[in-house]
Amino acid sequence: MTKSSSIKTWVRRLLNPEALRYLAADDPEGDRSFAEGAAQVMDKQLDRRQALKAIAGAGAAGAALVQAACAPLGGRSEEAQHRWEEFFKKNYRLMTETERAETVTRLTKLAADDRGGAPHIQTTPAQPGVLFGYAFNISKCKGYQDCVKACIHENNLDRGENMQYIRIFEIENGQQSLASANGSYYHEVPADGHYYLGTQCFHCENPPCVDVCPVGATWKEEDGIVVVDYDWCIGCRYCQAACPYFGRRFNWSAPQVPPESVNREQHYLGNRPRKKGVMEKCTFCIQRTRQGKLPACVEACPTGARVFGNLLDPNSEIRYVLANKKVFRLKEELGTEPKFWYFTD
Amino acid sequence: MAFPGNRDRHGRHLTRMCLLSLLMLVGCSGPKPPHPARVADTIAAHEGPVQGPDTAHLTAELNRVRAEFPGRLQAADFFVETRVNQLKQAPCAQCHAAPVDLDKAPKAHWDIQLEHAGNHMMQCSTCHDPGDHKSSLIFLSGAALSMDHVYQQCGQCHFEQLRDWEGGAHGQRVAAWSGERVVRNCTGCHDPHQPAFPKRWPVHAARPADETLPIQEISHPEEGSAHD
Repeated sequence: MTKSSSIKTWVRRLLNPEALRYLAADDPEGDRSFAEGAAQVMDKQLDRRQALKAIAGAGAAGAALVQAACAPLGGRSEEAQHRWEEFFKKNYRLMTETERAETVTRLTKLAADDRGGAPHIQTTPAQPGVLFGYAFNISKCKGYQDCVKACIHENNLDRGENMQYIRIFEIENGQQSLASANGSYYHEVPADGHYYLGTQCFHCENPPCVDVCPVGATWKEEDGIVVVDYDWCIGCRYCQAACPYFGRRFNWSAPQVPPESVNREQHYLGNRPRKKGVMEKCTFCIQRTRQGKLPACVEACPTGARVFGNLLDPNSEIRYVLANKKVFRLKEELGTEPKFWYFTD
Repeated sequence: MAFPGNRDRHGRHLTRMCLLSLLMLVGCSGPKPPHPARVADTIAAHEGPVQGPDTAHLTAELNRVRAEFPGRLQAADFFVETRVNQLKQAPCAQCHAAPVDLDKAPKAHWDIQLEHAGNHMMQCSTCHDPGDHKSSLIFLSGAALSMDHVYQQCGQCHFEQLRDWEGGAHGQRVAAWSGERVVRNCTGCHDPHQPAFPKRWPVHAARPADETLPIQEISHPEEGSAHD
């Protein structure tokens, strides 16, 4: 008999009520439920996830008991339960429709507790026949940064860290290098002798950030939008290192958004509140564009420098730009195939 | 040799090694496609007429009129935001019953500064006719034109912009990327009396440069050695 099997037998004998009978002989009223429950657990095959879930359930029940005792108002136990269930939910791509609806319900309730108003969280999927593309007119951009402001408000970006998805670079006429560009100008614009070029996530057709993610927390959707599952991200920042365009942002601290300016029209893969230690980035305003609206930056641009549309529609504006204007993309030699073009008048 | 199961164990070890090396071989020729996907190929493979998301509710409230291009056989398939309903000082007949002498200093229109291609080329009367056409604009020929279709007037000189505006590379679409295409009129973005965008302060102060990494330039090895 090997050593391991002998241990197993020993444990079984110890936890088997029959074998324990003699132990309880001097106390006939003794409680044997622990040993019986343990024997049941031993007989049942559990995988890791189920075991964690069982522990989570037990933990939630325990936490609920403590909180019910401490908080006379109640309601905290439900919140604790939701937080446990949120912690053990699946990757968004693996969820069934029911599971998606459940997590949305939980998130809505938790967000209502946190920020004093219930958000509307969509799970609108990509529509067939749609591939989003973007074009940026460097002749038209004047560097006003209305797009940046609109993006911050639309996407509930961290005001504490002054996070922004869009960066507008001020570049001297005749120069093309972004290394010598000024990304933090603050003076009257447009400055004489300069042009402006905006960057954000380019939603590459071959996104290097997706390839390097060790946990599958980021992927490219059918309509070409590269998204992040904020609840699956482990914050390793491989994607940030892999992106050649500095398109991704990391939450070094818990994002701060004033409750009165939270945009409550949200998407699970879009502008719903993020937490400390996860990546985020431009999603082409997935909560707007999947409803047919234009991204916030396009709508806010006062000079019409931004063009957005469906690349698969031959009559779309983006296709007109690609067919009729001189276009270029950044770092085309890398083969990332960004769906974000620059053009001039 | 003394262990009875030794030979058996040896055989198992060999099998495991074979399996491992097989796995490594398979791992090297992974499932990656040999060439990365090109957007152009994706477009070519999947393009076609698309029924996008329903956006009727987004464009329903917009005051719009179908764009017109005089002399064309086919009607335009897009709409332009109307202008007339936004104007406060038009039509001119609200105040002016008699023809106005444009040479006099404009009292009620003191705030209008004409900075459009220079006064030798553009004057009030280039676009306005305070005599015969008080409720409309005029073409260079003197014919009347509704203010809703001001793009036709601008396009007399700015024909390149008009062409791009019609296609979608100039100007701005309103409300929705799918469904009915409604675009801003020329005057929706430009002040026709001072069409250039003014200098102003940015509405947002970007993060300081030391916190945002600049996009690093890729240096090719051969170029690097040439510099050295």
